[in-house]
Amino acid sequence: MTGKQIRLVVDDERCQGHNRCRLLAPDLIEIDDLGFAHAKGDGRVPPEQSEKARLAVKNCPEFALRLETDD
Amino acid sequence: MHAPASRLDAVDLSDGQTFARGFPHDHFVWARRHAPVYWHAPTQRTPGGEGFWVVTRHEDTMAVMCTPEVFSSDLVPPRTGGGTGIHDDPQAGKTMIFMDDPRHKRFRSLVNKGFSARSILALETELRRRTTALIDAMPEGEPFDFVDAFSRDLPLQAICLLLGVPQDERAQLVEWVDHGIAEANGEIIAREDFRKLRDYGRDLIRRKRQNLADDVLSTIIQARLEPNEEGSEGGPLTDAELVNFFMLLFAAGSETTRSAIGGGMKALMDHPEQLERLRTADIAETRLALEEILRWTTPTIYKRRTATRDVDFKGHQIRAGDKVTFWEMSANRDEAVFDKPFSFDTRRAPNLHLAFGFGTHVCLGASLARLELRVAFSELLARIASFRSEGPIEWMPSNRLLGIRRMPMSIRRKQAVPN
Repeated sequence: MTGKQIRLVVDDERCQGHNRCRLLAPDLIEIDDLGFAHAKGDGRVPPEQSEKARLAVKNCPEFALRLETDD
Repeated sequence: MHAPASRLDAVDLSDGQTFARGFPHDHFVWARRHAPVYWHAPTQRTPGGEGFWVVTRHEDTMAVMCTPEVFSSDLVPPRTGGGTGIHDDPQAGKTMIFMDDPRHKRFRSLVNKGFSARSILALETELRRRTTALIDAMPEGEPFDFVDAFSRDLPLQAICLLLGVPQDERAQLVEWVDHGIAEANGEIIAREDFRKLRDYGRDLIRRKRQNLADDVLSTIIQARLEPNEEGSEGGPLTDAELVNFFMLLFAAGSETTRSAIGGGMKALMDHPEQLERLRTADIAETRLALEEILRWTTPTIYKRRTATRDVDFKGHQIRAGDKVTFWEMSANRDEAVFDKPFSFDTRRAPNLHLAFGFGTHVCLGASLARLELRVAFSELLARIASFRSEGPIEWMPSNRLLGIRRMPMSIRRKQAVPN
C-alpha cells in the first residue's frame, strides 16, 4: 500500500447539525449530544470508505467537511 | 424527447392561485420525468411578462444552487431588478439574500454567529416555556384553528426573542406580513405592507440604538463591515441596510417554520402509528423525524437565479440574463433520490432534502427552525393524548411559501398526574 493517507475534517465553526454526514458515512462521523458532527478518531479514511467520505463531503449543506491528504 | 407544450402550459407557476389548493405535485411528477428542465412561457399573471426556466429535479437544483457564478442571486445588468423571486425586485443587491459572494459573505458574517446552532441552543429553555404556555391555552374537546392557536405564534415569539423585537408588537407585525403575502401581485410582499414594515423597522432601529441589548438587531447595529478588495471602506451598516436585515430576518423567521409545524402536525395525524412511535423516540430518531417533516412540508417552494452568461444546462441553451427557477418542493419528491417520495416516513435515512437550500445561501435560520420543531413536537406529544383533524387545510395563494392559512383540529389532553 503506497496510496496517500486521506483524512476527513469537520469545520466546527461551519457545522450546523444537519447530521447528513453521519448517515452517509456512519463509520467516519460521530454526533455529539448537541447534534454537532465530529470526525471519528483522527479522521483517517480507510480506502474502502473513501466513496462514503466523498459523499459526506459533497452533501454537507454548509460545506463544513473536507478531505485532506497527508504528505 | 420534447414534451408537448400544452401539457406544460396547463399549470401557471407564476400565479399564486395555482397553489391555493396546495402544491401541484402531479404536474411536477410529469415534468421531472418528461421535461426536467423547461421554459415556462409568460402568462397574463407572469411578472414582467417574461418567461423563465423551470428546474424540477434534485440533482439539477443542487447544480444551480452550487454554481452561483453562473446563476446569480444579485442584480445582473442590464436588468434593473433581480433577486430570488420571479418578479424582478428592485431590492436586488441591497439585501443579503439578493447578493452573491463575496459581498453576501461580508453581510452574512455579521449575523452568522447570532443564528449559529450554539447560539440558538441557548434559547431552548425560554422557548420551551413559551411553547407550553401556548399548549396549555388550547381548548380541549372542541375544534380550533391550530395556526391561530400555535403554529403561527411560536415561530413569531422565537424570532422576536432572537432579534430583540418587543413581544407585544409581534401581532401587528405578522398581520402586515401575512396580508402582504396574500395580497402580493408578483412581488413577495405587497408594496403597501412592505412600506409599513419598513417604517416600523426604521422606528425599531432608532429605539434600539438608544437601548442596546443582547440580541441580533443590537449586534448588527454595532457591527462593522470589513473593508473589501474592491475599495469599499467598510464600517457600520447604513440605516437602509439595517432595515433590510430586519425585514428579511423577521419575515423569514415568522412565515416559514409555521408551515413546517402545521404541516408536520397534519402529517403525524394522518400517520397515527408514526405519531405514537415518536412519543418514545430517542434524540437520534427524533432528529430523523424532524428532517422528514422538513422534506414533507418544504415551506419555501421555489427560488430564482439570473444567468450571468450563456450556458448549456442539461441540453438547454440558457442565455445570459434569463431567469432560472428551481423548485425545492419538486426536488424533495424526486424519485431518483427518495425511495417512495410520496410516503411520509419519519425513519427515512439519509434524508437529503433541500428544504433549507444548500451551499452559500443555505438557510441562516436552519438551527432555529430545528429547535422550534423539536421543542414544539416534544411538548405537544408530552402533553396531549390524542390529536384529531377536523377538516382540510386552507392554503395561502402563494407560489413562494407553501403557507398554511387555517388548520382545524381538536385535542384531548393527557390526564394530570394526581398529587
